[in-house]
Amino acid sequence: MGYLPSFSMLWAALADCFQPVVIIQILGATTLGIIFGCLPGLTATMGCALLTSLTYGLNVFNALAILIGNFIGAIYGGSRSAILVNIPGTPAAAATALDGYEMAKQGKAQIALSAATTASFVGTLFGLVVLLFISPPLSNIALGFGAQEYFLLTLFGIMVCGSITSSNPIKGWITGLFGLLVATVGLDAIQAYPRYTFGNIQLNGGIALIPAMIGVFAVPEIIDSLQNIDNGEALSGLGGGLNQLIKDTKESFVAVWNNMGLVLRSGGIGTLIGALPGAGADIACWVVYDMEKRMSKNKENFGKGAIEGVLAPEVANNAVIGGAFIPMLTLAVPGDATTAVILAALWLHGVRPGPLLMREQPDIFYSVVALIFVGAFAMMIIGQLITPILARAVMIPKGQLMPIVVVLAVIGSYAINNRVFDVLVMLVFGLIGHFMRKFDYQAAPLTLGIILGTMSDENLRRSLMLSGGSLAPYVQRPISIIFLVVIVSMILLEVRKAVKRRPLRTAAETNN
Amino acid sequence: MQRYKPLTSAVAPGIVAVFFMAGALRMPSTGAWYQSPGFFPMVAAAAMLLLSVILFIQEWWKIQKQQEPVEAKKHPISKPELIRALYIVFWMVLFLVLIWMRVSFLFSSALFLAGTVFFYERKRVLSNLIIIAVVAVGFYYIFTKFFFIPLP
Repeated sequence: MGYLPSFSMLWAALADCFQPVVIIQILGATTLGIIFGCLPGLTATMGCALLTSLTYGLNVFNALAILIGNFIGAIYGGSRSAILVNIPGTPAAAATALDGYEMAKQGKAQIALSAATTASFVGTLFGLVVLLFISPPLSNIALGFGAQEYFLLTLFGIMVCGSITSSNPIKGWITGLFGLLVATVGLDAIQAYPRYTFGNIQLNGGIALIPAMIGVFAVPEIIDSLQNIDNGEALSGLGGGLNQLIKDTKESFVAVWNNMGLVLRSGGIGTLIGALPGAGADIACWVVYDMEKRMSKNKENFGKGAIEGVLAPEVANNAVIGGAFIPMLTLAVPGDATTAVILAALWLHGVRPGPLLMREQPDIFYSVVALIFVGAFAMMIIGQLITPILARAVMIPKGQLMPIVVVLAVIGSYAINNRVFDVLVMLVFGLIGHFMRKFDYQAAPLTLGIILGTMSDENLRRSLMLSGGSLAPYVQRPISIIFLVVIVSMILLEVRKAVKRRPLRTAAETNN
Repeated sequence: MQRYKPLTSAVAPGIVAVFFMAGALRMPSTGAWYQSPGFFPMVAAAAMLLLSVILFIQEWWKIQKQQEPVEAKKHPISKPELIRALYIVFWMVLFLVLIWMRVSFLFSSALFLAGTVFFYERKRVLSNLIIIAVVAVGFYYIFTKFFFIPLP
């Protein structure tokens, strides 16, 4: 295994993508993903979680084709409803709505849609290139990881995810720890002791990941959507036929070319945020939007229909896709919630991502790269063609849409193991997710905790067994020391922030 | 009560942590302490409890300094909104019970859809009927015939 990617394997994987069945799967999944992304309340994570059950009977490559196509389509699809009706279909498209909808109101809907499509396409390819070149050397480094490093890596992942996704990092860390505890339910991997099962045989295998994820992501969204049923007003600004579509697409490519600096910055930041455990497209879009607004010479145009305000978030949120696969494939630590679902799907198919993946099953890595590449083209073509239909689809009343999602969620949970018990798990985690949302706790650290729980548990205990209960190896191994320094720095940074906030408030109160 | 909502958000995870700690204490300890199956849950739950205490202090301090409660009162949930939200949960539970009792998926999903779509969109009778028929029959057919998932 070298530090450079194997292009011969990449070509072979690309050739596999052009089998008729795979093409149909990619096109179908991308279309479904765009519809999912476009419909408010349905996200990329939810789409992948629901589709995982369908891919169970397929081989790994076909399963990946469906999940990756859906992932790319859903991240992109959010921009359609954001631009057309000012309702971001997914949180990843929230920043796009600011300028995209303004452009639509000015009669430039088709230009905004084309610009978003081109930006998403470029962003996906940007993330893909980084994934291709970063993963092999990262896997080599990860081969030197021992039990200590793996335990600290899981801790680092949960802390980063908790800090980034939550307004209060302590809440994020609590959620992550709760996820770790949920993962301990079932037979202990080392001594096979049943933990927290209360004599229930169904719990011996642990909490099924996919039903739990469907629950925490789908159910709170369904409940929230049905609390307030109102539909946005439709906007015109579309139309003009094929010639107009080609003209607008050309114009959007020119806009991307003229803003190459913005594209590279947004792509770089999007990929980096994607690679951070748990942080996804919803964060990336706001970070780059804010950054580009600050850097722009025409700050005042942002929020009033600036094309840069559409390009930057769309490049970033799609660049997240490639970034999120980097830690997932090389370290088995998902970069965001959607790759967490894909990781669970790979486990179902018997594939164990991690440092050894590049050595033992490199075809899986190159398949992912090839499928993202083909998926980007599928997204570009389908996205342009079905936008007028989607403009009408967005207007489906939530009161009709959400019950259908419930039926899908029930089937999705049931189909993994054909167990009704998993439907109960979905419902229980849905209610947990609902109350977490009410108390401002995010779902992402919880899912990351559930995924990393077993790895964390096994490696902590294994490291202590190897050292006879001594913690000394944690401060003797170089990579372990780096992780420890970063983790301690993060804690100190939070303490410093909290201490800094106190005197400021006290001073303000004194002035009053 | 809304004023003390942030405190509840700190107390609830604390209770969960204590629950897991109590469970971990009851697990057998054979050999060294770190080999016990309860070791990891105990460490994670202790950390969770510690963070809950810190969060509680943070929130308590904020409440003491604030004259007016924030966030919580910005958009209080009205009674009709609450009913709309809870209604779907009721039907989801009923759906689960029917599936659990191995009542046909076709019947249980059609009943669930009828109970919900007519509540939320009572004026759209025709489209509701189409949705119920297409979703219940369509999903059943697709999942059992194409994906070989044996639905009840």
